Amino acid sequence: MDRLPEDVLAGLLGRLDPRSLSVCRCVSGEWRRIVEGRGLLLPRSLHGLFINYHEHRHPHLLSRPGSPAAGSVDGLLDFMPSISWRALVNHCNGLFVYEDGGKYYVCNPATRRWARLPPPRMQDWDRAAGAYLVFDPAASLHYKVVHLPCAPEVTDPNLVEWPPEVVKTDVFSSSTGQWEERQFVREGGAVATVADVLSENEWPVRKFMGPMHRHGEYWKGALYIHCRGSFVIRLSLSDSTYKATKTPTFVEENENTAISINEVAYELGNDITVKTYLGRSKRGIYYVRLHIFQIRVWWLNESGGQMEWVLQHHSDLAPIFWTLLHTDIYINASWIFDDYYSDTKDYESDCDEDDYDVDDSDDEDQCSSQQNSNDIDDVDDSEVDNIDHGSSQGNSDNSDNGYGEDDNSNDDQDHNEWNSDDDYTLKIKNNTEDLCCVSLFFLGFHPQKEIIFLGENNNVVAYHLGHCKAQYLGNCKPSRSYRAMMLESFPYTPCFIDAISKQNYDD
Amino acid sequence: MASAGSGDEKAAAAAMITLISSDNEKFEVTEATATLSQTIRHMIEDGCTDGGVPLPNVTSKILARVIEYCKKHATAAAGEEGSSSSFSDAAFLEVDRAFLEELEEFDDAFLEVDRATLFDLILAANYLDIKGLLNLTCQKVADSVKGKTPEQIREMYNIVNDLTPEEEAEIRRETQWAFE
Repeated sequence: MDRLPEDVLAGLLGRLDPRSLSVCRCVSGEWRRIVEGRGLLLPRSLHGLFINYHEHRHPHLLSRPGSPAAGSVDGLLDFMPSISWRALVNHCNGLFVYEDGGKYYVCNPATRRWARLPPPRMQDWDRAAGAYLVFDPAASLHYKVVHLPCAPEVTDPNLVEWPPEVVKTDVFSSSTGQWEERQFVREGGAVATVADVLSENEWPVRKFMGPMHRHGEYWKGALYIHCRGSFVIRLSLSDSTYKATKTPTFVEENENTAISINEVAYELGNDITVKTYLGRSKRGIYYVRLHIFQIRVWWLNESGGQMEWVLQHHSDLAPIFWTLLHTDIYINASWIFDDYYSDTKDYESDCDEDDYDVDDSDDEDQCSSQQNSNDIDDVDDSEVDNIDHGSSQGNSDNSDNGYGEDDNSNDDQDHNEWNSDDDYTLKIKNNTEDLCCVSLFFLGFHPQKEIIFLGENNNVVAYHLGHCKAQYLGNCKPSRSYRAMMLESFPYTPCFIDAISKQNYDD
Repeated sequence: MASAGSGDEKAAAAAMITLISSDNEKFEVTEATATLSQTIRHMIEDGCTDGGVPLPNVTSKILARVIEYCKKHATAAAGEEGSSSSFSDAAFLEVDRAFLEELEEFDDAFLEVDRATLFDLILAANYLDIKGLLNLTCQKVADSVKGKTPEQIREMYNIVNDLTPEEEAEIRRETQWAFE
């Protein structure tokens, strides 16, 4: 073995599943250096979506077939202690924060380890206060959790501008096992007034059928958090400064389809609220605005020290969802849903860890389906059973917005593939009323590609921003829960190494 | 390339390349066979194969095996080209499938070698840049360590454990799940 050049040995080890790889790391100093130096156990690819539900007290995983982590991830979080209500709060590079009865836990579904955090020092948080993970396993296996107040304290008459010059947070560090106050000093001006924030309609958190927590993303040493009052703050962890920037604004255009669908939707009592979302993908931080079927996606351009939202994509999703609903494509789930264990086991009872090895086979009997092997992670136009439509106004065709060249090069060819038989737009105009009961919501970004995940009822659809193509991934309704409805999801990249100790910090 | 022809006549008429092993044995192969190696392909493109291609890193024993692999897979590549460009009726697809099965059997039998030879083949495939052969041989080794303990792997491949007990304990702690 010592005759092999390092590149060959690395290629050889790269073929192993995470468990064998972890064992190989313990063989010798050279093997360890290769596994660590090449980040073979670190989050490398999207494994699936962890989903929180309304009226269902347990998150579930929808995973992509062919993921290298298949069989190694506990998609039901059953390694966690038996608790009353499980809801994921935040995800970062394979770790989750989740909340149960006001207590925060940090857990890793790949290594099946968890820690209960002591209560944050500041207790005056409202429901929408957030806990955000800072975890970069390539740099250190230690993690931090940043706890941030949600909105201004209305009782303080001296506060006019918002956010304040100094933002106080509580930061938990796994290296000390304690919360400590940490202040971030604002760079640049405030972006809103307290009055603005309190009268804000577009909440980043929704009371029903939407995310329960504000979205926060850790990217390149900074934490980006979507705040009430239509702005995003960027906390720089290295120098304790922060910046605030308004979320993108635009003038509503008179689009014929949009108006007709909006009116129809309104008349039929559809959900017409604007849904907004902050996420991370290929080029960094993105912002999404979903208004019925109109979706707009901005990318946060930070070159030159500025924070500038660049409109990346705008399209009408009605044609896609009309087509999905009116073809049998909803039957062809391509991803695997982790439902409950087999009927002989009760998930509420304490499962010992030996049970985990059987979860895949049991789950597939229950509900998961994998009728075709399409894989959004390796999305290839010639193979994917995609739906396209001609009415997209995606800006992705413009070369001046810096969209990836590889994506651009295919666009013309893609559109040419469609002939009059595929003219979904025509059908849609005659059938908009069929979409009256459809309420879309946003589920997240693919971490490496400009693909978004959308929810409709309990169905999950992937949508490729560059090609305006969609693929149905699966239904995520837990079989034992009649009323469960998807609320939100966390695109999950497994990390097979961590420093979570089994202790409970508050014991 | 000039000669990835599908018929026997074409193949026979194709240019021949002489490969010279480290122990100075000469092997004459068709260009189609030789160009499965990217390294040799580049040499042909640069026009420096006259008088034979010296391969100082590959013994005659290993080179013979490598050529055996390349011959089989070059025929497969030629067969595929022929089928897709001409007609593709059911009978033809059937032939294709049978051929792929045969190729798989060939690969399995090809890998029935001792560990030293397997590593020599990996080194040769890496040096000659033959992707298929490198994949095949590396996968064989990767499969052999699956489900083994670190001790078993060290014993199997004569690897000296130079980790300190503290380092080993740390590794096990960080990825405890894999050792349970």
